[in-house]
Amino acid sequence: MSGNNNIRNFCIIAHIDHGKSTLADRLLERTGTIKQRDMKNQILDSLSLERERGITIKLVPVRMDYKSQDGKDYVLNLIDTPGHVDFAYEVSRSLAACEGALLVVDASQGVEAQTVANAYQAIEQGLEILPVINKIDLPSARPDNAKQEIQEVVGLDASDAILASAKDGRGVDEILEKIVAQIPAPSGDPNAPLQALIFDSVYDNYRGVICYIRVINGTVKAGQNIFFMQTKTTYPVNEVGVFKPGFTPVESLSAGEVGYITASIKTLAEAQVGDTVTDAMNPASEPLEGYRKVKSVVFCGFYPVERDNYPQLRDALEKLCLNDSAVTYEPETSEALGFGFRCGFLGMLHMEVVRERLREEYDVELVATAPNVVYEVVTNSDEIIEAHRPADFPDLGDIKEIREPYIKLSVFLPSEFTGRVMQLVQDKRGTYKSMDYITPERVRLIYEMPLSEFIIDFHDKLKSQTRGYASLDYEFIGLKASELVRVDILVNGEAADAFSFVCHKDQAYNRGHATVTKLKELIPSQLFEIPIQASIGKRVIVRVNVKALRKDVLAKCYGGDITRKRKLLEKQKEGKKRMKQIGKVSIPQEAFLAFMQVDDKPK
Amino acid sequence: MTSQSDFGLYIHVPFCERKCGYCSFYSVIVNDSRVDSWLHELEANLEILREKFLGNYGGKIRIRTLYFGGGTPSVLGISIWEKLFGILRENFVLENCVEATVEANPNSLNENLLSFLRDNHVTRISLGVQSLNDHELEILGRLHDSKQALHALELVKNYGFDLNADLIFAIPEQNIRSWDKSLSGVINSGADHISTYQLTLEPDSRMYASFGNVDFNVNGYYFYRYAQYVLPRKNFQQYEISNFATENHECIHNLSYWKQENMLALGRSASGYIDGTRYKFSHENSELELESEKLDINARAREAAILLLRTKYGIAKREFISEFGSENFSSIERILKQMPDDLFVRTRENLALSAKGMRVGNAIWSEII
Repeated sequence: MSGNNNIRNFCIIAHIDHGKSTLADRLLERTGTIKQRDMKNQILDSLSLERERGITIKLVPVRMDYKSQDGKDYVLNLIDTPGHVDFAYEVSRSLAACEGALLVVDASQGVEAQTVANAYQAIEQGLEILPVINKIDLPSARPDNAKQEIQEVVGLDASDAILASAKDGRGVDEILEKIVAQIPAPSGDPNAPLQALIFDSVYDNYRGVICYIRVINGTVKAGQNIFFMQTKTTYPVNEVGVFKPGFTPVESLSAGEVGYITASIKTLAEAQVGDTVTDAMNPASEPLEGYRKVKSVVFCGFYPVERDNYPQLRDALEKLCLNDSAVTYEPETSEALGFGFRCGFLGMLHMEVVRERLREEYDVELVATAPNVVYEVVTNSDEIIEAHRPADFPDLGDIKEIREPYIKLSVFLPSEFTGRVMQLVQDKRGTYKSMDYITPERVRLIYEMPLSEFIIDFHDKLKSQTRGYASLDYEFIGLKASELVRVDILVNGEAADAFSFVCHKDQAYNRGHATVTKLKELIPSQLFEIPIQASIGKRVIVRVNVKALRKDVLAKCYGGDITRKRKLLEKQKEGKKRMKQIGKVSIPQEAFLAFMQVDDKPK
Repeated sequence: MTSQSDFGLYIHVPFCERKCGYCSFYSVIVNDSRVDSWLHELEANLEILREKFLGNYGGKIRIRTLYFGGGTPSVLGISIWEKLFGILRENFVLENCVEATVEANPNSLNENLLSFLRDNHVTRISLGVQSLNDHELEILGRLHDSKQALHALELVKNYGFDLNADLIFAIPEQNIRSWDKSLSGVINSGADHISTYQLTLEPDSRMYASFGNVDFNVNGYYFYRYAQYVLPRKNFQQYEISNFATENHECIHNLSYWKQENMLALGRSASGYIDGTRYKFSHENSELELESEKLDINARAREAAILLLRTKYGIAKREFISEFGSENFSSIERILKQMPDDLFVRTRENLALSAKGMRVGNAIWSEII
């Protein structure tokens, strides 16, 4: 292939449900990439969770051949952007592999929160953006309003936005023509040293890691020794190819082209999204910009439903991590759940996806504990400690500052719900940043908020407060110092780590009170009175007592049947054995479970 | 004088005029043919015991205490009692018997029977009074009322028997005042021994069905605690979890169980103990079925500790150590040391439960077992 004037690399930016997958299907169909009779609905959705929920996390890239109305042949590469904020970094790498983007907005619903964030990123990276108003076939479609929102919220000129219906095919031709006419051809020098961007990578059992790449400069072909500039590893290329769809080998890929390479790479960690592939003999002087290592921000414990199934869970996680390098895990033991793993994720959806994959692909039934975040504790000696659980916190006197992850939260909602949502966000320690009217009926609120408050049940609460009409987007804005405290729970004077927690100091009393009260209900009376205390450092903030047993004897005649009497006592002893001892106190398993907010099935 | 070869003897009389809804003991409605085959079974049971466990005890066995429990032994007519004593005399030496108790119900007790029993070694009557409150008796489904109960108590006393009254607490709609009346009522009628039992119902009990609107979930604590408070003030000491007695009126037969003394038990569902072996006759067919278990010394030690701690006498350290070894004693002592002091009465020689300890006995014993 000579020159790259006939190549167009683009992606689709859309809110969930705004029709991204259906539109992609129409484009494939119209370009004859897939015959209509071979079409499964939404062929590019790769995970079953996606199809099940009708959402698309990530599409498989695809290459289409298109003869335009001026009679020229073009190669169109559609690269997807994951439609969820958990994958914001991957979005940015996908955008970096394109020169243009379709901004798809639902004609009846208008611009939603996630669309804005992704559109801004595209603008920031200099992409040409083609607004598309989709679903104009719906009776409730109001394309003019949608155009107005694109102009006012995103700030793009939408006067000549394409009116389309991915469902009935209207506007699809116009989209293809505009891609060719308005999105620039890739620049780049095929003779320069190789620079290819990995915008995604997947693991295949037979071929090892398959890297999805966009060649920026130079050329790559089979047999060539390539060098990964971040992981600093070298591999000989086995195969290069394009997405037809389906992996189709080609001789080489040059500047401007999109395709894949395989090189017998064993783990995804060696071929990370954002890394630059170059020629091992003739390396580029600089890697491409924008690489960063993704970091887990949300954590939770995964435990097998049956304790004996721990090895299966471990094996499944190992395999799953071969093709999802963003998951981290390490062994953990819980008093209530036994052996399991503390796993780290990019966000809530990512967590759910992983859990679903473990169930679907690896047939592992598991229970997941409530998610949490990682705190950063600065000690008096300016040492920084990453604290995953309350027990990781140093003594109160040794803490100079505690930092917690914050997000910038954007909520788009009908204006009538503004008051309720503001209340909700404030209850969750949100700090008001701005509010503006998109239209007289729609409002955008921007807040800063601790991630820990967001991950527990914010999304559900927001949906119920707005009857499902609000959409939200968030981005991590880093760690901020917070007035957090670790509240210790003492049972009969002994620290019971399983019940300790970290919270804002203003909530310490309420949550401490709730915790000790609940424990009082769950811990059965024993031979002595048991104080249950919540304390911050040495200061006790709440105390309740589990009264000593008053009566535990059956004044009953056994007719001399001592054996029966003994069996009853043995049964009672068995019951106690199943409890966990903290000091002299026996605590039933239910008490531990009650504080884990354990959920054994996905929502 | 007690000798090693003296036994307690328990005879289970499994007959009632009517089965009480709360009772879980084996009993059937009395009739002549059943009584005849029962007498036959008692002899057969004894044969089984002789074969299996009594090889070392030839000839007639010496009996120290005798107890006729039920069921309702007082429903048997005098002619049956004559046959029964005939069987006993053939097989046992009763001359050294220091205590012989017959359980009786107030409504099936008559002077002829009392007079007969007095002439045949019986020293003690245990009367199933249960309550002196008519409404409570009705809820329990008893066949007598409080008047009949008081009359029966008086009758027994007049014939010169030692007298136990069984009383039940935690009856639905019972309160501390009615409990106090029942307790003081039996004391005023001359009882020298009171057994207090908490009403405990199995989930499928007939009582639930017959009193659908009554709350059977009664907290027994207050009643038990009150008995522990009030009875000692009236010279009744709590000598065992369920039992209170005036001086020298403790039930010797009852104490044998807690001291792991040899006990012959005859009749369906009866349980006994012979030289380290516990056995129990089936309630289906006692001629054929007998369960038994031989306890090793460690199991016996633990069981002994538990049983002794049911009584106010507790564990006599020196005796316990000489019987079961110091290791067994100290391992039990270690467990008990973990518990609050006020659950125990400790002397140099002895370890017993305090009144408070008795209230939570199960929690203590289940640690030892």
